Amino acid sequence: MSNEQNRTDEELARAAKGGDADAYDALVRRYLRPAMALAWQYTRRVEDAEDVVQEGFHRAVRALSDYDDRRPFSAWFYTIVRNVARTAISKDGRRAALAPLTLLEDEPPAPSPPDAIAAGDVARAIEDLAPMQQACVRLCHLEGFTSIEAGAMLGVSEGTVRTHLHRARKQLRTAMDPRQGMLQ
Amino acid sequence: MMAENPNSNLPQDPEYWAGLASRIREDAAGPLVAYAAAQEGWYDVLSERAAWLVAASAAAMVILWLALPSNDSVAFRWMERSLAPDGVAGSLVGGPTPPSVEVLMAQFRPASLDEARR
Repeated sequence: MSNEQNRTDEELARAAKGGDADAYDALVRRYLRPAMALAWQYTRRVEDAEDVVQEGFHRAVRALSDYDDRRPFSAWFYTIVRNVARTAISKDGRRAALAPLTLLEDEPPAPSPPDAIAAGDVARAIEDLAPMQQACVRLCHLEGFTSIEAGAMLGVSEGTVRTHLHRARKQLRTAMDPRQGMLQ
Repeated sequence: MMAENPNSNLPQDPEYWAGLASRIREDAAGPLVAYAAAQEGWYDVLSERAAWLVAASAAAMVILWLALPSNDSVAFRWMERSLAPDGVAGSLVGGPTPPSVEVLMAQFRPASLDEARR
C-alpha cells in the first residue's frame, strides 16, 4: 500500500498497463473523488456524476494501452471524464440546458447580482456565476481542491483558474454586498 | 481520499466511496487480467532478437574457425598427439601387464632430448 502511495500517477499507470491491479487500485483511490467533483460540475446530480465517473474509469482502463506514460496521467484521465460528461449531458437535454459547463475563455455575462441577493443565499449567488467561474469556485472553495488540481480537472492552466476565481469573488462580493466579508 | 468537507456537493459517507471504488475495481478486473496476460515472456524477448542472435552465432563460428591452429603449429601437434591412438594407454588398460615407467616416460620425452643424446 505504502509503496503505491510513493509512486507517481504515471508510474502507477505504467504498472496498471502491465496488469498490476494494486497500481490501478491506487489510481482509483487518488482520482475517484476529483473525478466525481468534476463530473458533478456537468451533471449537478450525484447519481449522474457517479455514472459518468464509472464510465470514465471504464473507458480509461480499456484505453490504458494507448496511454503514453511520458505525459501527465491526470490530464489524460480528466479529458476522458470530461468527454464522458459532455456526452452524458448532451443525451439529457434537460440537464444539458441547466448545466452547460463551457470551457471557453469568453463567457456569457452572468445574471445581474441583485437577483442573487434577492434569492438570499451564497449557493444561489454561485449559481448565477458564469459556468467556468462556478466550476472554479465549487472545486476550489467548496470541494477543497487547489487551483492546480482544478486546472488539471477542467483542462485549463492554474493561471486561468485563478483568473476565474478572482472574477467570481469580485462578482460574489458585489452580489453579497450587504454581507461583505462572508467570502473573504 | 480527501478529508470530509461540509460544503461539498458530494457524498461524505466513506462507505459510499468504498462501494463506488469497489465497483470500479471490479469493472477493471477483465482488462487488467488481459494486460497481465499480454506481458512479454522471456521467449518473446529472444524471438524479437532472433535475427541478431543468428548473425552473432554465425560470426562466432567464423571467428573460431579462423582461430584454429595451423597444421604445423605446436598447438596443433599437441592436439594431434592427444587425439592419436595411444599405444601406451591401450596397454595400460587392456594389456596383461602394465607398461613400465620407462615406457610411460618415453611418451612425454621431448624429441630434442633424444636427438641430444645421440
